[in-house]
Amino acid sequence: MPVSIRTLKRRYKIHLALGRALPPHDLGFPLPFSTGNPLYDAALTEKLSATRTMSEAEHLRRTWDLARAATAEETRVLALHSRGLLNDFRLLMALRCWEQEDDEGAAAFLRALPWARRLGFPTAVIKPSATVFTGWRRSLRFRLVDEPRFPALRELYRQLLRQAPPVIILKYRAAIQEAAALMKYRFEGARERAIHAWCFENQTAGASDAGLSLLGAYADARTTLREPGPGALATLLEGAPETLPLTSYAGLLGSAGVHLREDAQAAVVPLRDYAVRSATPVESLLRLRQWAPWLQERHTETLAQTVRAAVLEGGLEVPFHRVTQAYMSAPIELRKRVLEPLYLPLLRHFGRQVAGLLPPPGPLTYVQPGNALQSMSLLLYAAVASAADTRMLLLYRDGVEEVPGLTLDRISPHLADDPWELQQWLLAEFGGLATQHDRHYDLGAAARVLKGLDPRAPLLLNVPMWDNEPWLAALLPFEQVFNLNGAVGAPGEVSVAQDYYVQMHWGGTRGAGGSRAGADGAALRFAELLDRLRMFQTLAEAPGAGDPA
Amino acid sequence: MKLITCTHVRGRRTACHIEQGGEIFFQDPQPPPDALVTLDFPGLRRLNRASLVKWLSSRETNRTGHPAVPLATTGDSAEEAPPPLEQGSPAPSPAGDVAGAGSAVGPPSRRQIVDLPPTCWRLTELDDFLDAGGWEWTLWGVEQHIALTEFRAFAERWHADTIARFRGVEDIASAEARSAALAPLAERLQRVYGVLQHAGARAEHERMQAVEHLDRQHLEALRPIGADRLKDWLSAVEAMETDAVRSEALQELARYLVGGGGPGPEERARILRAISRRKKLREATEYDSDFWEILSDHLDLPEPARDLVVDVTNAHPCTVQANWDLLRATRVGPVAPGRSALAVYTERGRLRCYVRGDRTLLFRIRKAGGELRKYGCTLRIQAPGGASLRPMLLDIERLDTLAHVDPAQAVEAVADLGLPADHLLYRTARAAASDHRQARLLSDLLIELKYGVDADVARTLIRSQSRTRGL
Repeated sequence: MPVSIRTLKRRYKIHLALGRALPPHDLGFPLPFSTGNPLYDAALTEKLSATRTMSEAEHLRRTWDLARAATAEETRVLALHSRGLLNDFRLLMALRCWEQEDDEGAAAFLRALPWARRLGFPTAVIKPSATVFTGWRRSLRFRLVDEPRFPALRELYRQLLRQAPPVIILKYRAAIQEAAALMKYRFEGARERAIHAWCFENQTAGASDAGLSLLGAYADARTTLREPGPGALATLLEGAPETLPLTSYAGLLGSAGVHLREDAQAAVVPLRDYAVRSATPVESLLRLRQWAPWLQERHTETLAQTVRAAVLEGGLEVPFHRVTQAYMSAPIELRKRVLEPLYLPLLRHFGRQVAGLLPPPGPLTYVQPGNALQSMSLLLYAAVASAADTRMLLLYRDGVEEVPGLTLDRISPHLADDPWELQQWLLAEFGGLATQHDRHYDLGAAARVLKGLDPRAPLLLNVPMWDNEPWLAALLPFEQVFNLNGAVGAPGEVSVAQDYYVQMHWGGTRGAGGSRAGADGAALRFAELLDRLRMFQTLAEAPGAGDPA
Repeated sequence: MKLITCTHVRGRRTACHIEQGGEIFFQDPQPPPDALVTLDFPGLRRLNRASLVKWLSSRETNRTGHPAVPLATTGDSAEEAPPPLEQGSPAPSPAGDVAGAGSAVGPPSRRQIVDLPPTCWRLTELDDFLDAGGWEWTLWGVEQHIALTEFRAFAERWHADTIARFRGVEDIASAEARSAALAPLAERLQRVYGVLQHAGARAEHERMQAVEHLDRQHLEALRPIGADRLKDWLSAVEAMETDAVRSEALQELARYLVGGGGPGPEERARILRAISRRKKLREATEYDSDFWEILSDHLDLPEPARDLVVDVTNAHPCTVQANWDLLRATRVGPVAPGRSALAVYTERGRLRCYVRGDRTLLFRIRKAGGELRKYGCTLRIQAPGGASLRPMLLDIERLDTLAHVDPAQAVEAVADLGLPADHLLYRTARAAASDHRQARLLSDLLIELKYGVDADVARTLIRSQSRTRGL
């Protein structure tokens, strides 16, 4: 049985009172959870960025002290679960292992880091300000690790450069240059010499022979764009075996004053085609709105195929709220085109994901007012219902009603509706429910209905109420209550609206009644919350965690 | 019951709100959206959803003798809705089984949509305000819906009558009878003159409609824009009275300036200068983001200044926007729309200069002793202790950071204070080397000992200056 929400919350309150936990407004993830171990908690919720009362430096100092005090067992636990830690903490633990001459441990944490940070590891060892800080603080001189162990560091870097794919070398030239300069790295062998020429001289001589033909392709593209121009560039790229990454390609175009949005731009059609081909799955989503004016059907097919292949087949994790925000920000015409090939498959995938993250037993019961029909929370329900056993309860002034589940097939055709079409569908689907503005609900009836549910099964609430005794009393027995609005106060309850706890800590429950993002915004982050919860539950049972002594 | 309400659109149908009833719809032919309509329910005493359904049902039954009622029901979901799990009131009628079939009437189904028949509504006339409910809040904006001639006719009908009522009350001798008569008079006066109060607004509204029409005619006569007619164009646009039409005209001009057949860079710059010299045009475009978005990629900025001495002590980090400030201000370095810059203002708050860079540049200048040569100019920051707090706040921010990451380096900053070796500051610094909680205390002590300001106040000021958290 996983550690319960009420246990995680209780541990948090104790640690907060003892000064071992940070208040919600100083957490990157403002969740009132604690594994019982401040190190594990920080690894899951504390980011190295300024919060309401703490600066970046203060967070760095606190988390580094925690990392430094980690025992061998705690280090092993965190390495085992490194994929679930925040990036900042992965880096700090890698530094800690490096300081302890635990090269295997350092490598384990480095493998969990994105390439930009991996290649910047020596910089983090020698001049951490350049890696962990932004702005003017990057120039500060201090060390976290007293002894960099330069020979071992260079050897580690040799391995990293050997492992780095050509596209990484192309994109993170600055990181490599900085790290190599700081540790006075000696580039050896054809491949490394080609990397050196690229990073320090902006040259690509020998790159093709060294298996880095992508660098040569980039240099050729840059030269061709300058002279003869965009038309020749399009021809060159068409025949090239390597595909430039979108960021590099967009940088070339931008610096040459070539704008893909201008129809009159020379060779704009093949240039646009190439941009679509070169986009990664995440970039494909993020660029939907920007590219909408010129995307054709062949482009949307390519984008959809790229995203589907990476997420559904390749296991790439893209947060649900990012996908939905990207989709919803696109113009309606484009949304209609990408709905079937791109968004719906992802929705079903997220539904399965959330279903997999939900702790047993089922079913998931979704409770909301009958006259407050919010599209995102309905969408969340439908996505989860497509993969898990669910039931939906609607509250009214005069009772509670269970309705047949709203399936993804029913809601999905309307995800690309304009506001009027969506209203028409809501009227047809739910009749006059949404036309009634009465905000009174029969909480007594609701409480009686909840009594009939299994208190171990999850509840998902979209009920904007608080300071209500019968409602709170009804929720007391439940172990897993996820509230899309501000929390009512049951021990087994957590608010999905992330800024609720921040507001509550500052303004009390009255000031924190509703999240700024609203229930719809919270619905988008439900999967993210479940993922954090699962990590907390996992680490809460690990050695070193537990109730405070 | 008679009620005035305003219509709106929901799901491409016209609807209106009624208190305690939510939204109700209209059968065809529907009233126009955003219109004032008068709902008439003779005999209805209390308006809420249930009573309205009951009234409609009984009215139709009585009139036609049939149970059919002009109430729409929803589609499938209403038919499939299972019985309620729990409720505190009698079971609602299932969808479709509306309050019909004779006199037995139950509350409406939750999913029922109420459609008013055409006999229950009409477009509002001013006389309705004399006896209808909802008149107070629907008066707001009445000038948008009722023509000026109607106001004149209303005044003709009721002004004399109202005067007569005045006199009627004045003639009452008995204090008791007079106080009783004043209540209805008060309401009458509020209704009649409440309506007439909006006559002036309606006159202005009709004037603006006429003016807009004339402005559009003038604009049409000026098309197409051409180099030979530019001066006339600008004068005509400046003379327009309608802000919306003026804005459209200026955006059209902007498109001409950047279009294929438009002027070259020098001429474009000259035209922009001409616009900026005309106060109305300048003000109309000052915050018009659409105008500047058209121009932003085509602003022909002159070469940045060189050999200047610029005091950036009180400069504000910002992101440069395309606007008149950018064209007027001195630029130091490669300043362009969308890029970070330090904005230097005059004492009167007017933008004087942009310096390419951000807060990092301020720290570089401070670190260099208060003066730095960059972009061919000399950038200066005053020493702490002067009129501005900014230099001090830069130093405080640096100390605050060092206290956490390198306590030993931080205490070097107060070596000049000559504190004894066993001072609390030094003890805290030693403790801070191994305890992060002491680092915050160290920072507070450093700030207060060196600068005499409350550390938390200083941090709040610093945060307010940072454009982003990362800076």
